[in-house]
Amino acid sequence: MNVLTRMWKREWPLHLMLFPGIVLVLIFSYIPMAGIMMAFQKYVPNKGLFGSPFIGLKNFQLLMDYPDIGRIFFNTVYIAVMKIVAGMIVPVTIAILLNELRKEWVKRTFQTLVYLPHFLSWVLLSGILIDVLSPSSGILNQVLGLFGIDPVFFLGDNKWFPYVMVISDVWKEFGFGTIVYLAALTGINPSLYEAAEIDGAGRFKQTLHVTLPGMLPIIVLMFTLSIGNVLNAGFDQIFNLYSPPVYESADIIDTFVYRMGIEQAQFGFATAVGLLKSVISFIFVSMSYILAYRVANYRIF
Amino acid sequence: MKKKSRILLIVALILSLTITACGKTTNEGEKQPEKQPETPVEQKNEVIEVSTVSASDQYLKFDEGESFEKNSVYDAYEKDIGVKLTNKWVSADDVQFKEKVKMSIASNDLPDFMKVNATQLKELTEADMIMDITDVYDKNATDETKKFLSMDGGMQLKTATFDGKLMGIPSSYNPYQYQFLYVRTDWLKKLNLPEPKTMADLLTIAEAFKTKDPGGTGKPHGIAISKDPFNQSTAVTGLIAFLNSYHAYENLWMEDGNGNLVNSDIQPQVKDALKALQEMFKKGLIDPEFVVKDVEKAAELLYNNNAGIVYGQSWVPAQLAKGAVKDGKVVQEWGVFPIPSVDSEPARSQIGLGVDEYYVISKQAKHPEGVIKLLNHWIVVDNHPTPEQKVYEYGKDLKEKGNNYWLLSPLRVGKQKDNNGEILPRAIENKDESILETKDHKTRYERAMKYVDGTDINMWWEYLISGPKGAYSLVPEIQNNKQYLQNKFYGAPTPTMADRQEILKKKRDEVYFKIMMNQVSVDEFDKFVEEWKKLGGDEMTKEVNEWYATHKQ
Repeated sequence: MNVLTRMWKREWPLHLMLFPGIVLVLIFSYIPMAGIMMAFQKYVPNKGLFGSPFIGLKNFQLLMDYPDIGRIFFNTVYIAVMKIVAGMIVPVTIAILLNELRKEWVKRTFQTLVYLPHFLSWVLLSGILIDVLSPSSGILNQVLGLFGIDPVFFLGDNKWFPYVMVISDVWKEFGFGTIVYLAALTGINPSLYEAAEIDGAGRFKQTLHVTLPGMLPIIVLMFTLSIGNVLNAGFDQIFNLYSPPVYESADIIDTFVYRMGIEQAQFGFATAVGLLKSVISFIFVSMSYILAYRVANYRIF
Repeated sequence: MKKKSRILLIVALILSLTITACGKTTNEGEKQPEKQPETPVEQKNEVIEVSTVSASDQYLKFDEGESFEKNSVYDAYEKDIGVKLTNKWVSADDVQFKEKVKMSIASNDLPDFMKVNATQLKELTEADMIMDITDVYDKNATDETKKFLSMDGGMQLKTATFDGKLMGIPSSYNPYQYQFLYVRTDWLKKLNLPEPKTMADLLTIAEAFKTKDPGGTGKPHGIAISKDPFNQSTAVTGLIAFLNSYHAYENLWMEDGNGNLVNSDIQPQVKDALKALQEMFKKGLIDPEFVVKDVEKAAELLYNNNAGIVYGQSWVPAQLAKGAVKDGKVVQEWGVFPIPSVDSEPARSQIGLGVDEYYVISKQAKHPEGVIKLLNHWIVVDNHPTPEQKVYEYGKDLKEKGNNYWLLSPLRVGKQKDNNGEILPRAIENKDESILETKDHKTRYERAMKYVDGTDINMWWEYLISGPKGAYSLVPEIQNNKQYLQNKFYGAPTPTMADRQEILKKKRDEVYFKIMMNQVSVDEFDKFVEEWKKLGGDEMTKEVNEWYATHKQ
């Protein structure tokens, strides 16, 4: 009792500081969950959540009736998984390489430069990408032309489109990941390197046996967090770059929902898809969490 | 002491957070005292406040010191009819406008009145979010207004009527808007080619433009197309007129000969047109990058002499002018032609009803009569303005300087019929001002004359629209020979249409594009037809025909 009171006396400001955060989460994350009801309704905006008629699972039925739904799910997962994997490998590699640089200013300049695209929006970048990738005047195809390769219409070809999405997304975002991994690197005890050196390990062996294991918890953490995005293939990127001929390889759940939900004002339907997405994502997150715990003995909670 | 100040700091931090979070409420609280001094003024002039939403436009150029909040047009409305206009929001352009309208509807946050499309009109009616304006319109619309909006026999008003209730004001325009074919005539002369009379002529011309590269750019294409060519709102660089040449039409309900309606998207004529497009694509007459080019980007092909053929509406010359007139000299010569036909039967231009958007009044609006007043006044100032009322067109100095101030009027309706084609070419050819009738005639005549007498060569485009060989000069013949096809379905979207239209359209675009770009064989079209029927097309056709049975004239 006495201890508790003393603790409370000491810590109440901390609890008070936590309070606005909890309120924010409640207002913006928990209360809107009531909106899930829309998935089972024919939602009419001015009748609101409680006045709109319930129609059971009809919204889900409509989704399953759509013949391309399998393709849309495949595209989403395919693009998203590639983005997650590439978005892991590239920053880790770059972070390790940067760490080996001796001149501090080179390291910092490089770090800042690769971080910059993170701040540009896809609306802007899509315009640039369209120009850069243009088969007639784009710089990339001109370079390829020097090697005698015929121009490729990257944004109009189903074979290329998903990879263009992955590469451009990794290019845009790897700077951010790099910073996180660099921070993880500074946390590795230098005496481990010294010990490895005494044992006769070269630069490469040191990386393999000291650096990588040292980064592992952070890598696992980042991976666990990104697994939740396995159904988010990047709406704003794809929406700004796709066109009818590449729907086959580019149409993802989010673009589909946008066209159906917002353009056709079928809010109930859009919510149903959103709910389905959340459920699947939740399963994935749980799985990766269990895996991380079992394999790497790492827990977030 | 130290501890106390720390607690103080923490409390201050939390307070500041809470206050910023509640920032909006505080603002609203402040608003009220601000408004009070205005009230007496309002009462004196009986000014009513009406809110709307607007779109900026690249052609709208504000005078010094004016903006959407304050400009001479809004001031004039307030002075002349006592309606003070406010904007709930202003979008950056028309595309964004449409997005934001959807958001306004979804969040149930409507201004007093706004422009919506046919689907939204129906949706808002069903959701009971907009006002039944039958009585308001009846009481407040002037006789002139009523006559003006029913020049077409009341068809357009009928499309806005649900169960006998008028739910919106049609944003009317002349439905007889044809598409034309625009070709570089200087290139025709240079290559010694005839004018395009048939589809075969046109294909020959396109091929010559590609192989002989009369523009000397090294990267020639036949025809300029932008990324959404099968959309009726693509008024330039589209392909709908190309379909029409093959007696194919875009998403139009037409009679099948047995008194039933069928959708044009799945008719075999479309296959012929797509096949022709595929051939053109294979020959390089179409820029393969069209799928990622918006209208302006596609039009650069025309400005830069890469392409010399484009389809579009009568005002296309205004678009072409950017490349055709440079430093006060005409550097590209363009001719306008009726759309050629693939066979001996003349091509019919596909036209709509002249209305696809409506002004609706929110159920919450306090002054619906203000909206009708705006409508009455717009018709007056747009059709027979007094000299002072020119402010609505030109701004406060009442002079034409290309600022397009008419875009500021929040409620605009156009004439459902015009005789520009009969009058203007004749007047301009004979320099005869006396036969001009409407304000539109006079404005166009003045502009074209500036080109004719050489005072302003930039007005070249008006001459190509209204002049003796302009786009309008082709209209009377089309009109008299009835070389047009109007959509037979003008009801609100049917239930299946509302559910499936978007799915069908995307499917269609995907197949059309792939055939066109030679990614799949043209026979894929037959598969699409089957799929179209299965995916709700048959259901839709049934519903449309049920509607047609009760509305047939």
